[in-house]
Amino acid sequence: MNSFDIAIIGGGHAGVEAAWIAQSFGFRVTLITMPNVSIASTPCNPSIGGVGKGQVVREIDALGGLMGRVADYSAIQCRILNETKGPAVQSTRYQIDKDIYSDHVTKLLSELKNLDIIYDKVIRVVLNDEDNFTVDCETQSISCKKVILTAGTFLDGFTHVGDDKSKGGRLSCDRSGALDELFEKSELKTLRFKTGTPARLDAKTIDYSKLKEQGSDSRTQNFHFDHETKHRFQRQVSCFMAYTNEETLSIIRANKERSPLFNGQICGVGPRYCPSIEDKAFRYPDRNIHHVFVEPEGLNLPTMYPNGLSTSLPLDIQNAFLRSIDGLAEVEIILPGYAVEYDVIETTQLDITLALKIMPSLYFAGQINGTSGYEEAAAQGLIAGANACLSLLSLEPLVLDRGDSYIGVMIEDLVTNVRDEPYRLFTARSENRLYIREDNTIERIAPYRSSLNLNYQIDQYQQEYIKEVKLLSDILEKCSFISSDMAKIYKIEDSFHSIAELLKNPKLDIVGFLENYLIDNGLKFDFRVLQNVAINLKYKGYITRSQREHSKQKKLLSKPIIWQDLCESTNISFECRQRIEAIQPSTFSQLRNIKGIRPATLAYVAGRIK
Amino acid sequence: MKFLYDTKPIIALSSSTLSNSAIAVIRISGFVELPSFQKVFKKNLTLVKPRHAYFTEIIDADSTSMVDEVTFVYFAAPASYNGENILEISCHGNQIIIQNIINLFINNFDIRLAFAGEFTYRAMVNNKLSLTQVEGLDLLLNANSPQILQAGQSSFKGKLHESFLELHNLLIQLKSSIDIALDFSEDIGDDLSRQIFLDSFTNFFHASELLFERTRNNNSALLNPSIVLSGQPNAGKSTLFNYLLTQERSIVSNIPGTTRDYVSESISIEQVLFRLIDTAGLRETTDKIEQVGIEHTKKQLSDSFFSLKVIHYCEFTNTFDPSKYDLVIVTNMDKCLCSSSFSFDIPNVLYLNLCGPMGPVLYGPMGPVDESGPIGPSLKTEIYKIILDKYKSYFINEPIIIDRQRFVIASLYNYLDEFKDDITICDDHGILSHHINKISLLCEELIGIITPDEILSSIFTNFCIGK
Ligand SMILES: Cc1cc2nc3c(=O)[nH]c(=O)nc-3n(C[C@H](O)[C@H](O)[C@H](O)COP(=O)(O)OP(=O)(O)OC[C@H]3O[C@@H](n4cnc5c(N)ncnc54)[C@H](O)[C@@H]3O)c2cc1C
Repeated sequence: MNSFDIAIIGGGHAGVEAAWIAQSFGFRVTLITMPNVSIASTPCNPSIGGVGKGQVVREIDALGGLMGRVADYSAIQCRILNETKGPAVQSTRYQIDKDIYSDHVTKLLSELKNLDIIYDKVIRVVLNDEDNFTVDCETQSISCKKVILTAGTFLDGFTHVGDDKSKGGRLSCDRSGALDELFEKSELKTLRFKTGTPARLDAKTIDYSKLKEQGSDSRTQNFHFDHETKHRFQRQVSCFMAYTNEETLSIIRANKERSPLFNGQICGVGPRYCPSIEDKAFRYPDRNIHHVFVEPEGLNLPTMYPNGLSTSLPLDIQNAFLRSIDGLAEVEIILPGYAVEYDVIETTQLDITLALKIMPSLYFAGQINGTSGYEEAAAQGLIAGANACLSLLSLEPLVLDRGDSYIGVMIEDLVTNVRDEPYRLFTARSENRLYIREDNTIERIAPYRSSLNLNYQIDQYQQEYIKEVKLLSDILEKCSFISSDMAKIYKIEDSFHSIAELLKNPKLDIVGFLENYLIDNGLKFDFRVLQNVAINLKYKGYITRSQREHSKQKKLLSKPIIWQDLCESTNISFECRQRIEAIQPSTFSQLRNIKGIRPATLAYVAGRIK
Repeated sequence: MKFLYDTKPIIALSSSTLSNSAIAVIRISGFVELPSFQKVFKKNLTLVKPRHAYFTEIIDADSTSMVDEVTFVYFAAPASYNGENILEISCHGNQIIIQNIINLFINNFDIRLAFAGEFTYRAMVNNKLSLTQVEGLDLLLNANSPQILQAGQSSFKGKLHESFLELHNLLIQLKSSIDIALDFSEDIGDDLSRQIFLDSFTNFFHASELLFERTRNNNSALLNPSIVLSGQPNAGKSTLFNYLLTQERSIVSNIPGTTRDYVSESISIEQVLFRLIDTAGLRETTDKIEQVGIEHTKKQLSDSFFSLKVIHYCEFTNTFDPSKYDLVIVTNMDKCLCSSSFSFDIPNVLYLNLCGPMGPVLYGPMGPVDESGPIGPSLKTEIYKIILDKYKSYFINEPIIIDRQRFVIASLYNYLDEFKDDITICDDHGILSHHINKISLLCEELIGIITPDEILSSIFTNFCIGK
C-alpha cells in the first residue's frame, strides 16, 4: 500500500490549492480525484474574480497559491469592477477559457515531484490511529497521516433537469457516497444545499448583431505577482448582453408545476443571491426584464454561457424560453441547464484551521463546507492544506484575521455560525473595506506568508516589496516638499506642501501623478509598490482613525477564551452555554459572532478577560 | 451594564404591599418544568396548560396541611414576560400567608428570592426587552409626575421605542444602500443605486435630527426637578419658602445668615413632585460653615430645574440681570418709598410686600396673615403656574430623558452634521463605507448590533439580485 503524508480527496479548486501548498512544504502528497471529471474544472460560469472575490484571488496569490497565476494565463476577457467608486473598492474580474484553465492546472501539478495524482473514486476513509488513515478507492488503497476532503457538490449528489432526476455531482458525472458512507458511523451533522447552472448554447446559433457587445479592458492588472501587470497571455474576446422579456417569463410562469424547484422534487436550499430564472419569475411577478450576459466559455469551445438564466426546467421549456429572447431566436442547446443537490457539512463542527474538532487530522474545504464559488473554494483549500502541513510540523496554525483579509472573514464566518444558505463572500461582510483592498494585498498578506517559513521566489519578492513600501512611504512623507517651480510643472496649487498631502486630494489621479513624479526625479519603483503606497496615503487619515478606534475593541476581540470554563459557569444561561458548547469558540470575537449569544453573556465574559 | 445575578429560579411578591390586602401575586421565574413543584400543589401539574387560570390548594409538603387556596397561571418560555418559564400565584393578601408560601418554595426547591428588578433584568437578558425599553420601564416604575410616566411608557412600548425601531430600519436601509452600490451594482445599476443611497441617507439624517431635537433641553433635570430659592441673606427667602409650603419650615429670623445650609422639602404641583430648596444666602463671609453653605448653593443653582431669585427692592438696581433666573421676586415693596422708579413690566419679575398691604403691589402680601390683606391664593397659584408651564413645555416635543440615550443621539447627530456634506458629494465608496460604519457603531448602543447577514438578507428580499 502506497503511503503519503497528506491525501486530498477531490481535484476541484479547493483540492488543487491544498495539494499545491502542501507539496511546497516538502511533504509527500496525493490528490485523489474521480476519473471522468477534469481537474480544476469550472462547472458553472466561466469567470474568476469579481467584487470581493478579486481580493480573495490576490490573497490566494500572496499566500503562494495557484489560482491567480492560472487565471492570468487563461483570461480571455478582463474587467475592472466598481472603477468609478474609488480605488478602495475596485475589483478585478476575468472571463477565462475553461479548458486552458483546467489543462494548465493539470500540467503544473503533474510537474511536481512530491505530488501523485490518483484518478480513482474514494469509497471509504478509516482512521486507524491518530495521524494514520487508510483511504480505500475503487481499485486501490493508500495510507496517510492527514486527509483533506474537498468533494465539492458530489456528496450524495443528485442532478435535476425537469423530472429527470439522476445520481451525480454534476450532469452526467458520477457521485460520491454521503459522509456517513465515506466515514462509517461518523454521525457528522450535514445540511442539504442546492445550486444550478444555465444551459450551454451553441455559439454559432446566436445573432450577435442583436446583442450589446462588451470588450476586454486592457488596463486590468494581473493577479499573479510574477506576471507583468498588464500582460495578456491569450487573445481577448467580448461578452454580450441580452434581456429577457414578457414572453420569456410567461413561458416559465406557465410551467410552474414542471419545475423541480417548485413542485417539491428539490428540497435542498439554494442561494438567494444566485436565483434561478424560475425564482426570479415567481419572486418578482411584476418584473419581466432581466439582464442576461452571454459569455464565451473558451477560445476554441463551441459553447456560450447565458449568465442569469440558471434553470432546472425540462429541456423543451428551456428551449422555448431561450428562443423568446432577442438574438437567441434560433439558438441550439448543447447542454441543458440543471440543478444539483448535495450534502454539506455543518461547519460549526470545524475549528478555525478547518480541521474537524472531533477528528483533528481530517480537514474540510470548498463547496463541501457550504460555500459557493471557485475563489471561496480555492481559498479554503489553501488554508486547510497549509494547516495540515503546519500541524505535521507542530507549528502554529495559519489563521488570517478578519480585520485584514476576506479569507479571514470567510473562515471565521463559516466556523462560528450554521449557515442557512450557501455562503458567498460579499464586501458587505467585512467591517473594513477601506483597508482590505486589492492594491495592498501583498502588504496585508506578507506577514502570514512569511510565518509559513518557506523560501521560494515569492518569499524573496515579498520581503523586497515590504521594504520598498516602507522606503517609498518614508520618502513621500518626510522628504518631498513641493517647490513653486514644481507646482507649475505639475499644474498643482502650491497650497500643498508635500507630496503626501497632495495625494489626499480626491481629484488627483494619484497613481499616474506619482509615477511621473518619481520618474522625473530619477526614481523607479515597482508599479505595485507605487500604487499601494499612493492609495495608502490617500486613505491614511481615515484608516488610522478607524484603526485607533477599533484597536481597543480589536484587542478585546482577539483575546483567547476557554469555552470549557464558560460552559461550567452558572452565570451564563443554559441556552447560551449550549450554543457555546456547539461552536466551541476560541476567541472573544468568535464568541461574539455566535448567533443568539446574549449581550449579558458577552458583558460577563468581557469583564473577566484579562 | 453590570452582571450581578446567577440564573437560578427566583421568587418574589409582585404586588408590592407591606400591609394586608385582598389578593397578592407571587411570581416564580426561571424553573425548568412546572411539574417539579408538584409536591406543594394539590392539582396535577402535568395537566396544566400555559396561559390558563387554575384554582387549587397549596399544601405544605411535610405536614400535608393546606397553606392557602390560590389561583395560578403558568406562562411557558419563551412566550412570557421575560422569556423564562413563569408561574404566577394569586393568594390571599395576608402577610403571613404570603411569607409562608414564599418560604415553602424556597425551602423545598432550589429557588432564591429575587433582587429588585430582576424579573425585568432577565427579560432584557433574554432579549425580550431592549435596553431602551428597560430604561423606559425604570421611568415607569419610578415616575414622579404624569408626564414622566408617559415618557416611560413611550420608551417602553410607545412612540420612543418606535422611533428607535425606525432608526434601526433606516440604518439597515442605509447600510444596504452602500452594499447595493458595491456588491450588486451590476444587478441594480449605478444610477439607481446612487439614488437609493442618497434617499436612505436623507431619511436617516432626518430621523436622527428629529431625535436630536428631543434631547436638547436638559431633560435629566426633569427626572428629579428642583426649584431652587436663592437670594441675599434676609431678602425673604425663608418666608417665601414657608409660604409656598404653607408650613413653618426654615428658621426665620432677621439676623443675616440664619439659614446656614440649604433646606429642602417636596411639594406637589398638579401631581408633579418637585424638590423645593431654600439655599444659604450668598454673601461674602468668613464664617467657615457659612462658606460651605454658599458653595452648596452654587451647585444647587446650576443643577436646578427652576431658579427662583428673591431680592430686596433695594438691591434691584440696574446692575441686576433678571434674565438669568426663571423667576425673580422683589420683596419688601411695602417698605419701598420710591416705587415709581420701578418699571413693572419685566416679564419674569413679581413684586411683593413682605407684610401688610401698601404701595404698588401687584399681588397681595404674603407675610403674616393680616385681616386687611389676605395671603392671596392668587399669588401661590401664579408662582405655581409659572413653574408648571416651564415643566410642561419640556414635554411638548416628547423629550428623551435618559442621559445615556441623549448622549448617544447627540454624538450621532454631531457626526452626521459634521460629515453631511462629505457624505452627500463623495463618490469614493471606500470613504462612504467608512462613514457609514462609523455611524452604525454610534447607533449600536441605541439600537443594537446589525449583522452583515441581516443587511444581505434585507437586500435579497427587496431587490432582484443574481445574474
Ligand atoms: C451545477 C453547478 C452550479 C453551480 N453554480 C454556481 C454558482 O451559481 N455560483 C457559484 O459561485 N458557484 C457555483 N458553482 C460552484 C462552483 O462550481 C464551486 O464552488 C467550485 O467548483 C467548488 O470547488 P470545490 O473544489 O469545492 O469542488 P468541485 O469543483 O465540485 O470539485 C470536487 C472534486 O471532488 C472530486 N470528488 C468528489 N467526490 C470524490 C470521491 N469520493 N472520490 C474522488 N474524488 C471525488 C470530484 O471529481 C471533483 O473533481 C456551481 C457548481 C455546479 C456543479
